[in-house]
Amino acid sequence: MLFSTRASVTSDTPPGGQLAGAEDPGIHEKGGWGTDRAVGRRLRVFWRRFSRSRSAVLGLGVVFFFTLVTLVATWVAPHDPTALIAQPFISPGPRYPLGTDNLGRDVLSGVVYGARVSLAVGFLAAATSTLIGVIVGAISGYLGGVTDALLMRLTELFQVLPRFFLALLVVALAGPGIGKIVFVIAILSWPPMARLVRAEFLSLREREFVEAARALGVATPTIIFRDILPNALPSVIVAGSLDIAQAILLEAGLSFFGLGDPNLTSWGGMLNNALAFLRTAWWMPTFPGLGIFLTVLGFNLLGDGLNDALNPRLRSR
Amino acid sequence: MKKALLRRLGLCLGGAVLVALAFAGEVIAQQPRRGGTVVAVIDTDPPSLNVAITNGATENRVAGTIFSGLIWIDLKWQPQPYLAESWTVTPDSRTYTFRLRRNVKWHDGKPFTSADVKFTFDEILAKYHPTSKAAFAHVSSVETPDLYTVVVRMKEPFAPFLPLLSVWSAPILPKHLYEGTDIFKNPYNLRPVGTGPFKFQDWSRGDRIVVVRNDDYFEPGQPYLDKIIFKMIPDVHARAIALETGQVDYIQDYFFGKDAYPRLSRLKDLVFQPDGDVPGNELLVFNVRKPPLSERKVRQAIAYAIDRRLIIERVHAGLGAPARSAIDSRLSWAYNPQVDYQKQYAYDPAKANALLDEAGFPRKADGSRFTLRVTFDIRRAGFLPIAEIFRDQLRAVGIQLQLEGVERSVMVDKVYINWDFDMTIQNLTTGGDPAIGIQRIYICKDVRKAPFVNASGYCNKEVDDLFEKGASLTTLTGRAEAYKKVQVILASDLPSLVLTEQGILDVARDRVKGMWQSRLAYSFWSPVWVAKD
Amino acid sequence: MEARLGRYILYRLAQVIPLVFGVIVVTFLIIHLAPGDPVLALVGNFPAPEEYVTRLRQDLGLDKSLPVQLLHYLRKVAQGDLGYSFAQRRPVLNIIFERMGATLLLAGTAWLLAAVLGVAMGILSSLRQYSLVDHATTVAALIGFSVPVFWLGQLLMLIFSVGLGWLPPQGMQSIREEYTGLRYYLDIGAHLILPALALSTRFLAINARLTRSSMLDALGREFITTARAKGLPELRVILHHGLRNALLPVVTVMGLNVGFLFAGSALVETVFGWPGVGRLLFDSISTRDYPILLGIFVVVALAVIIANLLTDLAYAVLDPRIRYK
Repeated sequence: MLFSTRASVTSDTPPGGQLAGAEDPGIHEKGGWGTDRAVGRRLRVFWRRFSRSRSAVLGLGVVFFFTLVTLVATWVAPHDPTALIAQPFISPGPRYPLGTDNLGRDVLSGVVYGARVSLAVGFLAAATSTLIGVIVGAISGYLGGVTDALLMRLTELFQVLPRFFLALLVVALAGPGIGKIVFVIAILSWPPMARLVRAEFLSLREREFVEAARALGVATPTIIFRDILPNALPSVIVAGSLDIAQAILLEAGLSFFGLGDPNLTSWGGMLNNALAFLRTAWWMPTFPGLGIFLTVLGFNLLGDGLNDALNPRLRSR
Repeated sequence: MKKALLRRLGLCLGGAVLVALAFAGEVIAQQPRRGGTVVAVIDTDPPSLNVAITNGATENRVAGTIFSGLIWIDLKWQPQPYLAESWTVTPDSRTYTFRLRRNVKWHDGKPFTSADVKFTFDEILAKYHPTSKAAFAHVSSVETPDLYTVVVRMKEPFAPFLPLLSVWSAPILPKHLYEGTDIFKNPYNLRPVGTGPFKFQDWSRGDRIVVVRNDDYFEPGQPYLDKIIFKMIPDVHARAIALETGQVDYIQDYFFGKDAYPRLSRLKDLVFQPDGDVPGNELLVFNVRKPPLSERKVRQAIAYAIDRRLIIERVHAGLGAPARSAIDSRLSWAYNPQVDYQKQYAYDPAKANALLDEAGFPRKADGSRFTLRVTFDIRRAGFLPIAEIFRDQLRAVGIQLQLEGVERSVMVDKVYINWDFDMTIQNLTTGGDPAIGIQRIYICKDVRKAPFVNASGYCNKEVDDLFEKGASLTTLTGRAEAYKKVQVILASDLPSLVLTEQGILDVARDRVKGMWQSRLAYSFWSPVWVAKD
Repeated sequence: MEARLGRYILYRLAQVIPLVFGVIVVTFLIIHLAPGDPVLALVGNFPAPEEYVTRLRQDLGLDKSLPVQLLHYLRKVAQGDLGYSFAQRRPVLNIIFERMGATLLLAGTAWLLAAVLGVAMGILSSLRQYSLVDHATTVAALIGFSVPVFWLGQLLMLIFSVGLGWLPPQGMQSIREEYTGLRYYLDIGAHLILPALALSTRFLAINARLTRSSMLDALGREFITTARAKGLPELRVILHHGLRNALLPVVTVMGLNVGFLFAGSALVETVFGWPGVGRLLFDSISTRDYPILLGIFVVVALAVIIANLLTDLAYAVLDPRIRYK
């Protein structure tokens, strides 16, 4: 399967702004991390390309905003989200900007703390699955042969298991708990990353700088991690940020089914709670749902912006 | 002049005729009308429709139309004749003689006789029915001197025996279809044959179960309805929506998500009925085997720390009432009016704090005293918000609460089999009589590894003796006395804190009439009819 | 060419068997190593006589050891028997097949909708690049890709069903009426609209954008310029040369989406009360009906494997340049 499933959903580069492939060799052509100055130059080029896309910058902004909210949650949230601080069903107003829920808890505080859970799960799960995927893909792509065949069979097996069904099943059986949820999502999300990395490695390992390193007698792990991996990094980063979006959606889905951790306030959990009150309290599902939507949107925009910036050749014209 | 008078007279007469007609129309409209369909709601496919081996809620709602018991329970909790036309009980309550109705046929045409009753009692109920098995343990023999007489002899008097003989806990099964077969694998479990007002017609998995009028039903003219459709709607909110949009006509209390009540109560064409079912309670059961909950003061402190009115207001939309005693006040003959948790344990966090200090659990540097887990079935409506309320209120007295909402069978495993819990929220029916549904929570004999019995581990001989008396004495006053005494002890020991007297609420479109003539309305469909739309 | 294709097909088919085996073992292990006792879930809300419980346990073979149970199960599956449901006392295969129809109807409709509309929007977008249509499509696609499907389902139900009353809120068929003939299908169709719409949104978005970018890619290539230089009619250029090449990645993605379609369908089925396999899964989790849970996984995994296989084959047929490594 030569075509990466990590297709760009948006490519919003304005006309006339593209840099033809010949102008910049991109990170792909050189081996290794290079010197500091070279890195600095590349970063600036990257930023220039990245910032041309309005949506990419918007995505970065949204992600940044929510991350900030997560970090300063305890200061930003006016109340403890689990505390019954007022009468129930107060509609949004000056005192409670996003209203109160069916038990009298502050929705704004819930949304703020919910951001924490969603982003934490998103980052952790995506990071873990990326790690697994990179390791499996790198080994498989570089070594080839029997190892490759075996690992690819394993990858295929995991890819074939219906992800959401299995997550539902495992969490329902093992019981709720944020650690378990992160674990389950990570375990089920690494195959596409592995395939991607493998594809990159398959093409990169034939390059001259790798042959040179091999001729010099450099150890295999060093070749993999120092020389080849940095060149595959752009694709990994792009895929990784899109994975975060997927992980957030998956966690929200699990919480929506009532399988989230009841000791934490999460957006999906709030949506589940709001089901009964859709007509009487529109603010209960609207704001958490909006939170999920915006965060996922942000990561998707970011991922595509990164894709445009890092892989100019895969951009659509 | 005369003309004007005549005209006026004519008008008056005309008006009077119209009014009379309208009245007549009203009267006619109020007469039961034959025909029509009612669509009721259930949640999902039940495992089977054999209600003699289970008491699952869904099975009961559906099979209540197909099967019959010897009696039915009227609104005053009195048994009324059903398959049994009449009965006599000896003064020592040791022998019951039932005279059965003649000319009752099974849905497949075979005649109903006392042999069916004996077979059901001996071979099925006594062995397998979760509720009645305990009752039938008191039975020493069942005799059938003739085709229409059944004589039941008891080993010792068991007061609640007669009320248990309704279709809810003692449906009669056809001997000719079940004798000699494996009761659990019998194919008639999936297409039941009974003696009830409706016959099983169709079961479309994941979608609906349909029953149709039994034309040979022994009550002349009844049932009125042509058909009842039990539509499966697993999502509780969707049921209310279906009612609103006219897709269903009736939601029984068990399936009714009370969250929708405030919204639905504003609709003009819906009727709400409380008390269409046996009273039930939500309780907080304490595992008294280990500290800190082994300390009575700690349990009492928790009772002071929790404002049960908040549960009623915010979780149950104002339906029901905070519990007053271990015995539900709606079982009025057994309830002790001197006991009132709302007075004895009125919401008082200061007192709770004081008690916890006294009991030897002071606050640590971070303000907390200790952590407790509360385990509950996550799928039960209301349990999660109740636990969330607890979390907030117990935090105020220094108790950190961990919420453990798990799947039902995991909950049963943890709470009832492994006793691996601190506190648990449960919703238990009273069964209509303390001997049926309440004593199992408190007596030593029921400290065993089985679901929905005494999980707390509480064992008090005095309490046991009193419950024993209550179950075996033959007069209502005698029983009541014992029950009243036991409530006082339980109010002080608090092995479980009863939280609420569950509000019961059935809801139906107003075109559905004749519902709710029995305490177990959902098993009494023969007098139900629908007005023309 | 033919021989190669044939070899490729055989090769891929041979890979199916160990995959299915792997799927069964993995799910069996997960389910049985988890807490919770299925027998007690079946008993209802009252204390059950222990005799009854022991009897059930024996009956269902739960007192044998784990490896023995697995071997039993593997043998049965090889014979086409997916087991017997504890709760419903019927063969699992029957139960699943009953529900499969509803799920296939929903998922199939959503897939088709996503395919047809998505590709159409994508083509239109690519032909009118940077126009209003293009930007609108982009934005819509992005939104469709980011919205949680269960939230969307609820909103649709509230707006169109409860609010406007145009469409039924629940289920697959009208409850009261029993239609026949054309009205039967129309009734199901009316119930199908909202859930299919909710389910298809995400995939529609993916297809639209993917088609757009791969069309742009294809249209910019040399062979297009050549075809135009030859004086071929524009439509032919677009459809025959452009689309054919552009569709390759789209076909791939549509095929791979099948697995995710089933997943989405579980959420949508629950929200709309659609009587399919997704809802069955959910109910079976509550009752710990192990054989049904396993059965669903095997069936859905098989469906995904088959979809993957078909996708690979379609890809190979469409693009003979690909070497099947």
